[in-house]
Amino acid sequence: MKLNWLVLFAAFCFCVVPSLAVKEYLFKKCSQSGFCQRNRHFSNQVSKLSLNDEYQPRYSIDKSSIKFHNNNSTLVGRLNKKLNDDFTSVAFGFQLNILENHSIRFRIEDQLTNTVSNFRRYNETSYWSFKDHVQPDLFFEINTESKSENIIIGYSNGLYKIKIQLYPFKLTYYYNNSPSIVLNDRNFLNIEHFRKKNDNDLTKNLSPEELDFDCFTDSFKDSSKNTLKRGPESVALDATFKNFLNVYGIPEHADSMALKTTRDNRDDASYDGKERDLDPYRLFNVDIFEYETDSKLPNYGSIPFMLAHSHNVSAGLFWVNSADTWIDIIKKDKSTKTHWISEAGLLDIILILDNSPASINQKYGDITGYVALPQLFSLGYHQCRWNYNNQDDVLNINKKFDYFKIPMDSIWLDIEYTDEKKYFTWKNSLFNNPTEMLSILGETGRNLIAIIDPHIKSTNDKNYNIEQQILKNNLAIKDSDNKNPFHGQCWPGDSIWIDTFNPKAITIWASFYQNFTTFSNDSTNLHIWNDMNEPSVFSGPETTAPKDLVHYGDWEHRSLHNLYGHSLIEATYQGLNERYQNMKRPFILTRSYFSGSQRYSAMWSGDNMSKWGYLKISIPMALTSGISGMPFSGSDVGGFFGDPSSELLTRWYQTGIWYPFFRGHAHIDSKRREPWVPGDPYTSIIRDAIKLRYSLLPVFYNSFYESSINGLPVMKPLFYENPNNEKIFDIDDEFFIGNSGILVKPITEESLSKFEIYIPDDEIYYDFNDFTKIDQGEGKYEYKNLSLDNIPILIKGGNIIPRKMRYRRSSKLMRHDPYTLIIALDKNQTSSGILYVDDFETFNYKNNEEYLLCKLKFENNQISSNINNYKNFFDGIDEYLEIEKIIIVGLDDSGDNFKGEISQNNKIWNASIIREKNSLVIKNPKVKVNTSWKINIFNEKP
Amino acid sequence: MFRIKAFHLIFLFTSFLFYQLANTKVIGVAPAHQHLYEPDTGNKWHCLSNSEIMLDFDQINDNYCDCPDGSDEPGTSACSNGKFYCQNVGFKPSYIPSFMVNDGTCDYLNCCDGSDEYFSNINCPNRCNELNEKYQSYFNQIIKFNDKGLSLKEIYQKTSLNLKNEIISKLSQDEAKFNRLNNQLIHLTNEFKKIEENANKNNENSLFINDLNGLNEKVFNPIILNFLQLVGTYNDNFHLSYSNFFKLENILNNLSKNFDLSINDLAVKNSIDSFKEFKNNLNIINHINNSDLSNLKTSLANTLNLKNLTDQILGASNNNKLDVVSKIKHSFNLNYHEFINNPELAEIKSKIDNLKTEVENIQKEIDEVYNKEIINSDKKYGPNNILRSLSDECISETFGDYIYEFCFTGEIYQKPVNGKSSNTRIGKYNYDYEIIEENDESNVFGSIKLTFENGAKCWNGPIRKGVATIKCGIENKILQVSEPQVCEYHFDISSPIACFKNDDNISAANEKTNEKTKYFFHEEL
Repeated sequence: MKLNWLVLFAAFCFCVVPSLAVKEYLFKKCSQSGFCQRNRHFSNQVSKLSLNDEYQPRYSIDKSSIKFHNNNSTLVGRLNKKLNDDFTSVAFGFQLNILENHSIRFRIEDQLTNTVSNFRRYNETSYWSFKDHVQPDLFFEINTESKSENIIIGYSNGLYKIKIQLYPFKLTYYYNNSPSIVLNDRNFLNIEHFRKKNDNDLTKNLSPEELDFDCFTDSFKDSSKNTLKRGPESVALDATFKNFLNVYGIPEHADSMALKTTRDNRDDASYDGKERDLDPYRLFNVDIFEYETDSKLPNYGSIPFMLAHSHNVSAGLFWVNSADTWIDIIKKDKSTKTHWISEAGLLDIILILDNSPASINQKYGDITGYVALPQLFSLGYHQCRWNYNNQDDVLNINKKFDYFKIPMDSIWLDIEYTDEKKYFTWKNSLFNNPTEMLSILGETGRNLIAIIDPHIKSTNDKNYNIEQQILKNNLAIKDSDNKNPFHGQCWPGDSIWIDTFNPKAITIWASFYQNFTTFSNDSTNLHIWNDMNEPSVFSGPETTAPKDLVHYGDWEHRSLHNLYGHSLIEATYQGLNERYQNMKRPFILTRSYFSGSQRYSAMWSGDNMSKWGYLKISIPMALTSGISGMPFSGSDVGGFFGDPSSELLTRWYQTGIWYPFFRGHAHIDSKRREPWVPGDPYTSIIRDAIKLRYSLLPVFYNSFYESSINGLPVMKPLFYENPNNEKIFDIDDEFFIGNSGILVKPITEESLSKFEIYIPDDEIYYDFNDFTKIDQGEGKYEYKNLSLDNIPILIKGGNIIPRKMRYRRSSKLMRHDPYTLIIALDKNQTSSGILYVDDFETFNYKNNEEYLLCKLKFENNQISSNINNYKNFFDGIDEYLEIEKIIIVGLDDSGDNFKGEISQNNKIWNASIIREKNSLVIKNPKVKVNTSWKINIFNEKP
Repeated sequence: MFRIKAFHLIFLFTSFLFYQLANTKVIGVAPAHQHLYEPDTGNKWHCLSNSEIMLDFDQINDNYCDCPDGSDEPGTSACSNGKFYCQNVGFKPSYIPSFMVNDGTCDYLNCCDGSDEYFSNINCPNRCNELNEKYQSYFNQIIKFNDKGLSLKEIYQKTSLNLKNEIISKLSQDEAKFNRLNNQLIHLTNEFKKIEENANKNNENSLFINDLNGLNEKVFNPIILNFLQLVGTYNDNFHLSYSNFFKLENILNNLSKNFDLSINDLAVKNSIDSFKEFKNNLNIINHINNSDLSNLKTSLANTLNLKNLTDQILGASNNNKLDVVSKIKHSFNLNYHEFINNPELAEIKSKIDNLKTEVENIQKEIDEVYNKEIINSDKKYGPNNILRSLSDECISETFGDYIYEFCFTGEIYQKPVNGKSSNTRIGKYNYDYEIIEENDESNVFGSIKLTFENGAKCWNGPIRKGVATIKCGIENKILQVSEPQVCEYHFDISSPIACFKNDDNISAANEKTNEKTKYFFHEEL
């Protein structure tokens, strides 16, 4: 016994060794989350009873209540929920709209008579999420048919049909006469109507298939203070994607692109009743410290949008709800069956059907908006670290990039630049002249991006103006008493949080960026990083805000939690627009986001780790983000926590150059790892990779342009390119860059010497580096003798790729450089592409239509560029923008005496054409970019 | 917003063409090399290092790279390896890499006449005169500064050499003393051996029997006492650990109570939870009872059963007795004389022992001084042992919330200005003196790098470390402290010891004005 304490002490020492892994116990499992557990239980009971046809569903539509407003293609009516006493019903109003883009919106709202103590459900999620805060337009011209059991609505020449079954309520959405999405297919619809605590029993309000777990209390240790004043109020619904085996989307999770099943098929006769369930996918914005890969735990952002895809048809489901949400997925009968469970708010759902995944993105973007066309600089390389310590440090990093001839566009400042973590201030002892620093960065066209978080230090003095203004104007998120500002712990210690749901808070928050006087109002190369906006609350349950806090409009935090980050960046966006007098497109990086955030900001995947697994998972995470309408995404290159090996760092750069948002970042405890730190050969290989990204900026800018008008992912999954090839539906380790035809499979494993890339179709492909023709058809293509400097990149025949080949110190300094075109021919010896050009930084492309869209084509040995929108613009310099080189790849005619004739602006001159390895090169054709041109080539037989 | 209209550019462009025609000079080429840019009779021209590549003369500076050596595009950015000549009238001519040509930014640091932006939408007026003045005064100042530094350095140099000589002379004195004492020791040892041999021969038996009764006292009791002492020490250590444990417990109690929640460190939160759990499960520990010690003694004596042993010896025959004696000697590895009184031997023995200690000490001291101060002393203290003159020199400076104390050949400490928390050791000089050649553009003549290791360990992080870069200056001063990564501190220090009197260095520095002065001008402009 005497030595016992030693043993114990040793054990104690052992357990304080910090283990780097997510602390799962901090986050609720479904079984610990009242509404999730209740709805899962409900679905289990309903499934069990339904197996033997013993279940009598409770929801029905009252036929007499149905009204059809043909002038706004809206169907309204009453949905009744039968209670356990068998004679009382709760009535809800429902509304079905057919939208202008042919998608449909279905909503269920409580009728006022149902409410207890005037409780209302939060109904502003769509206000924040939809573009310009506008409800989507309604569509006209529909046909209805009312039978005894069903109402049938058809439109768009019968392409779309909606069948509503009255009892049990069920909604089936048809595309080309095939039932594609079925709502309430499994009768999991459950709207927990308002009730009082002492009425919550089997006499009426609770049914035998329901559970009363945590209806009015929260038994999870860290949130035991959660006051559930409103009692149970969850909404849940099942949706079956008929004949779809693949579903995608619902970020953010560190998981594969194709979503996995989360439970057993309980409605299967063969189900043995054993508990094997994983947790559902959860959407709940949290600061998930040291998250794990291959996990369904929630991350920093939430987009409740799911894409289903099958041969010839794609489907979208947008669950317009910003509360804590869980999604179960099973696959059965060649279909994917999903179950959506939200803690509060409205049941509001948008369904989209069309013939391709890209069309679904386009329609989803019609509603929530497309990605804002970013300034070109933000597609360059960003250098970040927690922290660059002072002005000298920043300027030294700035110089080092030039010394090592590595292009770079922005340097970032993490929290340590502030005075004691008081945002909108500078620590003067470290940064005594920020304006000068910004101006030196600006000399080479570079930018500074500074962090601003939504937690505001609670000081005891009156000198912190930001805090004073928030308190004075009563703009902080309030405690559950709806009186005093909520106080919690974050970086500065005791803090309050700005409530950007309040219009006045938005105005004030926006004004802080103007009054950020020491940042100098005339610096135009300052941009903003909004971090910790889940919000992250170190002292809060699940590292975030307690759900019973109160926001503007008396809404409980519970109902709008997933929107908080979005509301903050919307305010920041307004602030930056005011700061730059609407002249420059703001750049904002956010960690938390919701559907619609793409209109304001880029996102990154938060605090990853310096491990190979995180490099690998970064690709499906970026693909999922693109599928979900948030294409401007990326992961920290090098990994945030820890120190990457030189090989991992190098491979990460070779992967990171393909992220739409490309930033190196590191934790304060990690060693310095700027590209020159590992030394050669690594530094040279990293330099080559970054230069490759810069040479392809025209491709990225093209892709962002397209995404900004049609929602196409910039990092594009293979199945978008070949929607009918089922073999590639779940490939998530390779991708295309937009519609450029560039196919990449980055290397994400250590010490590889052999590697296979999957060619997704029978088109000709070419090796990106030496134009070797690969005409093997669909299947694996093997790289042998792979070395550290290899990045497997192919160009698909049929695409014209614009590049800028000259090294400059930043993207801004490249803007007058001439273009090089790579014309990769397809099997029919044709090729096409685009080149989008504008001033790369202002809104003039939008406001004054100052942009060029060159439609490039190769056909019958003629290369042509067609422009039909030309307007003089951006400093007039576009007059001198030229094409310096055209490389034709894959031309069947192997003659070596090619001549060419160039015509532009009614002038004609000869082209100089030479043969190079695997290609034909037109040297310095001297064609200007800004007007149409043609080059005819022909082989002169001697 | 500043905007140049297209016609400005057309104007620029045409004036550039006129310029080219009128002067028949090739832009971007030094006057001395213009002759390399002459067309042949067929109006052709070949790349400078690839004569097989023939171009039309108008392909020079046509903004397309034809020559692998970049020679056809001296005036544009078309060739990645191109060089552009800036005449820089008023300052000195220089070349800039082609990527700086017409990129929309005035690269005054290298091309003060602004000629690099002859075809872009910005205007770069000539600033060479201004730069020349600044450069000259800066350079003169540097030279003056360096000269003053060098004269100070000479003083340090002398001091260092004196200190080195002092050490060497002290060392030779020590060596002489060592030799003297060592001889004495050899002498005494020989004498001792002789006496001991005699004594053994004459007295072994009788002395042994007489003193056998003292065996308990001389042999066994010390063993028991020794054992008891060991137990006692163990006991003390135990109590010490025990009180340390309580101290630790108090610390953790405080941590649990006062933990600053603003530090989102789950390792800390986790530790606190584990600690609470640990405490709940902890049984009260009994103090060791001192009576245990006497029990231990009795038990040990019984085990040895001394009485039996002595009886056995006394009852044995003389021959056997000797056997027993030798057994005992063997068992306890004792010299006979150690338990037999022989005053003469004892005296010599104690002299020998003293002498031995003294000799060993001197030897150790000599080795230490030799290893530390003599072997590789230029590596440790720099050429001519320059750092010796600073071995007592400590300088300190306040930066932000901390005072840094820096001792050149000692330790670096960080002390909070408010004095509220304790001093933190950043590191100790690791005796590795490194001269850095001037490859850093901010440093004209070279610098010295000293590394300080084994500082205090950071919470949850690495062991602190300091790296000092010493540059030429006329006083010893800490100029700047930074912490580029956590717990690694970088010190910029000025000192005359880093002033170098190498004319080659200075002229090389002069040659490389572009690189060298870049930093300076950045600061100044």
